[in-house]
Amino acid sequence: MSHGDTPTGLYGLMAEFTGPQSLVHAAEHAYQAGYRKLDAYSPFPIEEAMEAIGAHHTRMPLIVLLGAITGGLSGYLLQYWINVIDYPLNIGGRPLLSWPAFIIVTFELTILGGAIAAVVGMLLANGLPLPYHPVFNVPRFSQVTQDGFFLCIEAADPNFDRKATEAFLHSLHPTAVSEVPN
Amino acid sequence: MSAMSHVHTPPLKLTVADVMAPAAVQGWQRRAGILAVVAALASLLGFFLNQQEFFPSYLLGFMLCLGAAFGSLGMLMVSHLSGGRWAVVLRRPFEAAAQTMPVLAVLFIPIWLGRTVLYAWSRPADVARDSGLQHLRGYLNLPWVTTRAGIYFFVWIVITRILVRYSNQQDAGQGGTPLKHRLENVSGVGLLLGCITISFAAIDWVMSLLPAWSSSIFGLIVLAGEGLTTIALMVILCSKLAQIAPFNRIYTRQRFHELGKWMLMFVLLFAYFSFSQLLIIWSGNIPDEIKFYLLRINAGWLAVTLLFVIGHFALPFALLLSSSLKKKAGKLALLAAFILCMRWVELYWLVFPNVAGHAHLNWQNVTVPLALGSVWVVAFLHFLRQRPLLPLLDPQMDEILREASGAKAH
Repeated sequence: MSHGDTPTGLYGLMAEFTGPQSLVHAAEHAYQAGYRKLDAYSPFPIEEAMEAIGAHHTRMPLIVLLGAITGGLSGYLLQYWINVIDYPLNIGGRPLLSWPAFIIVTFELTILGGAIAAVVGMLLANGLPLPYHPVFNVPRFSQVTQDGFFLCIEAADPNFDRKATEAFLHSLHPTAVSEVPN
Repeated sequence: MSAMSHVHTPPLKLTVADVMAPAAVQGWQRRAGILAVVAALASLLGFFLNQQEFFPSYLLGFMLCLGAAFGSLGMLMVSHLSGGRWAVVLRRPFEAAAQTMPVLAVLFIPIWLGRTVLYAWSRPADVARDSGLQHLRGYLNLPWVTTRAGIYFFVWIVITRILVRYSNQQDAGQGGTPLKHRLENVSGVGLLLGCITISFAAIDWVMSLLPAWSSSIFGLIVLAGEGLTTIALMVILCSKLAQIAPFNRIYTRQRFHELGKWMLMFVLLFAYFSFSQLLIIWSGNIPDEIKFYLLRINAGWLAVTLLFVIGHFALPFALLLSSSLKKKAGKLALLAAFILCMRWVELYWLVFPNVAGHAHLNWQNVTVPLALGSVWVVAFLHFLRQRPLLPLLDPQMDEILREASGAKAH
């Protein structure tokens, strides 16, 4: 818990790696070393890197599930209200509550609710739209959409220590370690 | 990731001898063989005691095995067309299952012999009484039904043989890219032919149990069920193999995640097709058509219907939503075993309300499918042991082995 060495205005430390495998390897080691506020950046999605930094354990699945259930319920209840309460019609002698006919709309609204929850939830959870992010202050970071593989440990991490963390990142054999100013 | 490899990991080196079926497979085969003998003896007893139970049970078991074989042939062709790592590591199991097709052609003979017990259209007295059956005689008559069965098996066996032959050529190091294209072309045409023939086969062998009833989506429902049987079987096989080196590095969490997604997809596809059929028939509300569903909600069958809806759809669907479950070999295999039981329930639900009055469970309903199933497993494992479990010379194998050298043993 040593914040003493952390200069204000420092977002974190960023190490650059040569390829996906060394990035994943570094991410795993950083996670094992107890760092939690860290992020891996690569030109393409790397499933293993996401797993290595624990990115899969988010609340997104729950948000999508709740959105889907809300959508499905509202679709079903809407039809129930129309067909049974608001405007009851005798269609071919069938009961007013003819659930098989309701399923299609219920299904569609389940998908719609889930999809909207996924998009909106993803934006909110990621803090988007975000016009400014400190990682872009590192000049080499512009390579991230081409051939750059980066691991950034944030200063906000309780285990972060300006010198110790830098030494740790160097031990992972990066091509460079740079400060990320806020 | 092995700890020291921060640069490019060299691919895992595997020889043909490394990837031959491990000794354990022979043990599974022996156990399946013993089960087959015991269940077959029980079934034989049942045959002499009560043919009214024996033949529908036999049809159930046959359709279950056909599902695994044809489903694998279909998935083999899909995998050639789509590519992907899952497709390469599952190719040999798919091929081995498809190679059992001649065995199924032999196993079909008792259904042909027992046709008068099963199918009203094959009983002259029934046909003479029923104008509806007379109307169908142009299609549902013995020579034509027999010819069609011959055509189906011919098509399935020929496609399998071509695909396996090309695959063997690839193993021998011949061909390269042109061979890969040939495999894709055969798969494209084969998939089309396969889907048409299985649809007709489902009509001939299952739908014609209730001759007055027809549903144009029926073949697709059977097809989706066969896909589900196949994936469930492959999950169980891979989870067993994943306990044995070097396959523990091949059948990784990622592969099980993919298989789990396939499983969820087939659960949904099957439910989607089945519900489409229900919705159309329910909306039309025509006496001939609704008969299929009336048979399945009356006379005690409603409990089986509910079990089928919950066990075959609702429960697996809810469980498979979890991505962590899909990645765990053990749990996924447990669910796969449950789904295979539900495949049995589904076929029981499809066959028996047509031929039996009240809902009931006879011991033959279990022993006969068990006998056929274990005979099929013996044949499947036999073909699986003949060739390497991985197509080592496939162009995609390199990246799989590269991944395997870094992968944590499962």
